[in-house]
Amino acid sequence: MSEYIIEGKNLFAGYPAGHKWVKAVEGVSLNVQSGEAVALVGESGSGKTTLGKVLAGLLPHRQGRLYIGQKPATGRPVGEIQMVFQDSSAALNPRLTVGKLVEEGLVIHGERNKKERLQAVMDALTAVGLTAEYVNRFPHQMSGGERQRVALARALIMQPKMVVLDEPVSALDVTTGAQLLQMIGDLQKKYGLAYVMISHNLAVVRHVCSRVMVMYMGKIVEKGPVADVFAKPGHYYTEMLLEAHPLPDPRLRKDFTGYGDPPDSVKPPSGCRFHPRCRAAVAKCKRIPPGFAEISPGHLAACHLAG
Amino acid sequence: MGEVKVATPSKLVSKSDSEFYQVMKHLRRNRMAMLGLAVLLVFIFAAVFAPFLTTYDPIRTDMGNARQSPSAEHILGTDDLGRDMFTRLIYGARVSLQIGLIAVVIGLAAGVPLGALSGYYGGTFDLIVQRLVDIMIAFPGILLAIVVVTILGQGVNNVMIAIGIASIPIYTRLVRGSVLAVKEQRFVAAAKVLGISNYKIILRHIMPNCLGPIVVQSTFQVATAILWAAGLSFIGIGATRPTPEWGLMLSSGRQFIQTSPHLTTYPGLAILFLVLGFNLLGDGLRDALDPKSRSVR
Repeated sequence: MSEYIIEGKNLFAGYPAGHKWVKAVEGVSLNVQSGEAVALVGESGSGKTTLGKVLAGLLPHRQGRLYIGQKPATGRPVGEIQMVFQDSSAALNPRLTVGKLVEEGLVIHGERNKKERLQAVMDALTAVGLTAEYVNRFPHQMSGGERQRVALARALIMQPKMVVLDEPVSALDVTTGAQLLQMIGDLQKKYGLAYVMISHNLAVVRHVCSRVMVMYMGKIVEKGPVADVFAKPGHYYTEMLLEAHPLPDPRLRKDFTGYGDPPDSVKPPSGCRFHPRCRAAVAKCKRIPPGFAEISPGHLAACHLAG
Repeated sequence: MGEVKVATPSKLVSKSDSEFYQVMKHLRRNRMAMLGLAVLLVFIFAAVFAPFLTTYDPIRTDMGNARQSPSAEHILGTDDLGRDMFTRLIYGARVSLQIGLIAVVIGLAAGVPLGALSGYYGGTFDLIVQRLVDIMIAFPGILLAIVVVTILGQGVNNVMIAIGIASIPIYTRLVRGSVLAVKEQRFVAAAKVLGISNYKIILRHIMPNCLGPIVVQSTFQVATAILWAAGLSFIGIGATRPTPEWGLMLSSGRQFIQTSPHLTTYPGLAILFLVLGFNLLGDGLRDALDPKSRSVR
């Protein structure tokens, strides 16, 4: 069993909303091993990106413990964990060239001389399939796919152990997205990277990740190997997500009428948070928050009716 | 998994792609902005090369030639103490530009860091700074400048300091607003992930993206400073005699407005054109720096 790159225990995080506090992440425990790709899936507002920000050190956790390697995580990261954002055009400073953007991490941490830094920039760009001529280009002079590659190169140059990928292909067309996913897989093999991939695209998760965690209203409701979770979901929310995902073959498609809208995150429902939308909810679902039940080895679901 | 595909270059970087080039291109198309710039260049040229443009001394009096009308010898006439008006006007351009620019530098030097820190960190510091700004903005700027000059005393240097202090809240509020918008951008979060310090994030990522509004405001603020300086001198608490300062020249000439109107007309026109030049350039810069107003490239 390889060591954990990152381990979170009972993490809580959120945002102020007026005088109240919205708990975007509530009691989440997770771990990521070296070279592993873990997916975080869920609807918009489920807390995936907030959890990603906590893992990358962008947002402090208000409760719980977070370890990077064996050490407790304190404050800002110093390279081990990197993050690639959804919208690359917004994630790259428009006033800096690609060379300056990719090199920045090395400059800030006072690494190497100028010549070595330039070589490192070239290596990082080559690794993501870009040529040397991109060095003097500005973000607005590139396509979305090229910008996303620059964002990846920027993360790679820091030689991280893990990269948080926040919807890396959602803003790209299908072909470009597929190329980028292929490259993400290749980079994982080449550098032994671990990924936490935040996505709502289940096809992307199937393609890249080995393990999946399903989030709903700040909590993990199901986790396990991708194949197991998708083949036999143990939570009705996961089932809903799978039903909502369009299938190319019309004969395999089911009618999806939806399960209503998510409740207000400031005042979440009692008991199981999914119960107002669940078609199988029973009386205790409204009162008692469910614990994890094992469906198969490593496959757990937080549902009273699971197992 | 297959081979990594090398992305095809969209286009080679060229000078015409830089933002500076785009701004300048848009600015050059704006006739009023170019007119403003031309007016400013005339004044700057006159101020820099004043000793070469005239042989007269701007300070030495010649009572025998007092209040002469424009002639071949004195193209704009002479003042009540026989000094050449053209000479005093071009030396006055030096004083006015100096006051305008240095007052703005003082305002920038204090207002920009205050606004940047206030906007970036927020919290109690922001609350204190913004309440102080509210108090300062509650006073009309010229009134605040009058108060400061009264405390510091007369003279060009004190006028610059007074106007500079009066413009601090303008920059603080402007920069704070810009920083609040920019700090929420994804590229700031991306910089934080790299482990970049707050100080470097402000300097390297936030401030360069706030430059547009600061440049535009500074252009208008130079014009305002020149106007305020002339006003302070006109009411007798700004520049002191015998400094060739336009407001002071207006003040000295007003008692002869019936008999020698040129004593007030020329300094008045000089103030008008210099302020107008800065304002036209400021308007042009504001349009050129706004990507929405630029034509699609």
